[in-house]
Amino acid sequence: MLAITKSVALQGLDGYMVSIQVDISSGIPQFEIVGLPDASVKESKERVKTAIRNCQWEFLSRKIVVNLAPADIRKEGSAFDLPIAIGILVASQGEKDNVVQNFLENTIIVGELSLNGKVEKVKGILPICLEAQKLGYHKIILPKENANEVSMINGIDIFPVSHLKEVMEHLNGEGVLKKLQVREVDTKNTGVYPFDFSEVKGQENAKRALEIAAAGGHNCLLIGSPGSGKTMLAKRLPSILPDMSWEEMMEVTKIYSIEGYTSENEPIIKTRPFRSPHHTITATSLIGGGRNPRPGEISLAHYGILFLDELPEFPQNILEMLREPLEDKVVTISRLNASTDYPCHFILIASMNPCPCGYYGSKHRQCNCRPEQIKKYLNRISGPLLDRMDLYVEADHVEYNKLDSKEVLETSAQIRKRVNQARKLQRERYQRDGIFTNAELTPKLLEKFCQLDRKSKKILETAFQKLGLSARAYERILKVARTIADLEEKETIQEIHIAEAIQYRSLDRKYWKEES
Amino acid sequence: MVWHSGIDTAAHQGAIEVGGKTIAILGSGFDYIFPEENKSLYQKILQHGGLIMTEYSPDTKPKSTNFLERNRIISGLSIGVLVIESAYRSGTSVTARIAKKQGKLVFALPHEIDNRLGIGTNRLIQNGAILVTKVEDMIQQYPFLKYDKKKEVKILQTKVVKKQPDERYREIFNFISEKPLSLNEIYQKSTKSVGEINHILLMLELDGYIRKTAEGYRCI
Repeated sequence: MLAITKSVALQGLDGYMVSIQVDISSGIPQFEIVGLPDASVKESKERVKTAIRNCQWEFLSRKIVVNLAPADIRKEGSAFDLPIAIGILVASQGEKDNVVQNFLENTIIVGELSLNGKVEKVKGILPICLEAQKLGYHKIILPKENANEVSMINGIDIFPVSHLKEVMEHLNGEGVLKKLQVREVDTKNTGVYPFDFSEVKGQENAKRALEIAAAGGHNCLLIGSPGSGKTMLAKRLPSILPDMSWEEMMEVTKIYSIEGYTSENEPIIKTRPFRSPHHTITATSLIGGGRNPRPGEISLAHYGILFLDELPEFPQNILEMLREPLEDKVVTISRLNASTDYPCHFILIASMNPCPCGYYGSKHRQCNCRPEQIKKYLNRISGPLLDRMDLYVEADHVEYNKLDSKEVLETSAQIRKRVNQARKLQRERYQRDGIFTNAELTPKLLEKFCQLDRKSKKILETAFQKLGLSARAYERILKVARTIADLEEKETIQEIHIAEAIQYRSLDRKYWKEES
Repeated sequence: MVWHSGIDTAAHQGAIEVGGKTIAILGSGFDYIFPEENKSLYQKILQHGGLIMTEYSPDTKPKSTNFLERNRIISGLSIGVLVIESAYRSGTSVTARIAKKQGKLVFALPHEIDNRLGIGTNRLIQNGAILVTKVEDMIQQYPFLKYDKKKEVKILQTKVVKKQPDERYREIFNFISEKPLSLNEIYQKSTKSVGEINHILLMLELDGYIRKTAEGYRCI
């Protein structure tokens, strides 16, 4: 007897339909799964067999062949357990009536089975559901524990189940599966963050720079001696990032869903992600990859922050890999089996010491490094990567009495308000240009949106001559100046905006390389 | 560590500029000029009738102890040693001690008491070094040096008349002194926002009133 059930498998963020064909025929008793299953799918044999027996059904001693079509794509994961089990049960019941056939044909089934027949949650339920909808299916059966994560999806009937028996009862007409109510999801940012900028005393220039970075989506390099609070500042950055749009939330949630980071309590990622991998990270886990490609840290930081603490400690080859993703905002991972695109539109925040000993330029401790050593240390970060940094900020040591002061500081919520406003201006301005932030401005768009008046031009010219700025600073300064103007809700870039933007190019300056 | 850049480079250059002769003493053999950047300077010294010497064989590599040792030759060849900056327990203070032992005069520039680089010089003064605030302080000690007072006046006269920066920038400018001040420290004293301060600092810098160094802003 043949039975066919339908499921969806994921490749990257997109999915494809898998038809699970179960055939039971006479012959030497065996149970075989074909169609490029990987180890986790092959193991489902044992789970399915045991679950069926433990539900007091008979697992036929026949030749059972399960084919996962299309048979040329490698399949992984445990989500096929449930459709395989249902396929076997239906096939072993013999003749099917039209109702059952119809139901199986039009329903996507996903779920992992435990040995007692309970349906366990699976990873990537959100993209699976969205894909099912896209493929034109109107019904999906999925684990109850996953229900919360997809309850906001309109236009597809979702039937959450907690046990294999429930599905079979429904098919046999002994019970009815309950449809999940569509729920509006509260997408409002809770505004609750573990850290707040009001806790950072001093460091006004770094705070300001991070505000600009958040407002314009600029990459930022924090330079400072040990203990100056670079990490502390970076950790608070998520609390001033602009609120996410619904589309952004869905895109990020999809990635997190695939990695199994969403849960019943947190079905949707509502705050921008903050990822801070340690410098021992491998290329694969940073960029993404593996035999069955998975998203890396840069994709988990999508629409959020990728924070690289102690940048020069990262192996150079790994840092170089960041170059294209930073430019393209998407990373294509090609493997023998598949090629997958993962989005990775993140803000790169990095921190580093100014020199090997860490105290160059500090007033509190003497730096013991020779100028060549400092140069060598700075050279560990390649020019092309530095090129992609819009802001360089020096965080300096905070005096103890400053740490102790009772003065009331601006909270993250207040800063976020300005950031949100600046982002809104950018969105409106770039509506027709396919970008969202100033950081994404192309040379052509720069010309269109970053016109300078005579006075500002003069300042920029003088600065280039007198401060020995390198040519690559030019575009960066314009972009940052645009953001500073947006923060003040000014339509044109003024002298003061350009001047401030120039101040964030300290690494381009001569003094850094010559004096000591 | 002061031995490889800064003051001795400046001294050599100064001597060459006014047509004097100068002697450089290496802490390594001639095969290893250190640091690399000084090669052109040494060429210049030789061209102007100066001298480069070393007590090491050509294949000796630069080593920090060598530099301390060669300082005894520097002071030995000199008629006196002027210490400009010297941190606590720095190589410079060792040189000053050797110079004293060699019977040379030791001069020192006084510094503010909380200046890290002034600890050594202030202590030298405490211990009897001659406090120097102007060139005459040193020249007076050497009766055999002929000193043309008129010439000096000429140099003094060429000094630029100090101009004042634009009214709008004056508040911030007044905070800045010889002691480097970071942006955050300026922010503390001022009522302006970080953005405004950044703007003003850049304008002051472009107009040549202040200078940004790794430690902060200072006036020129």
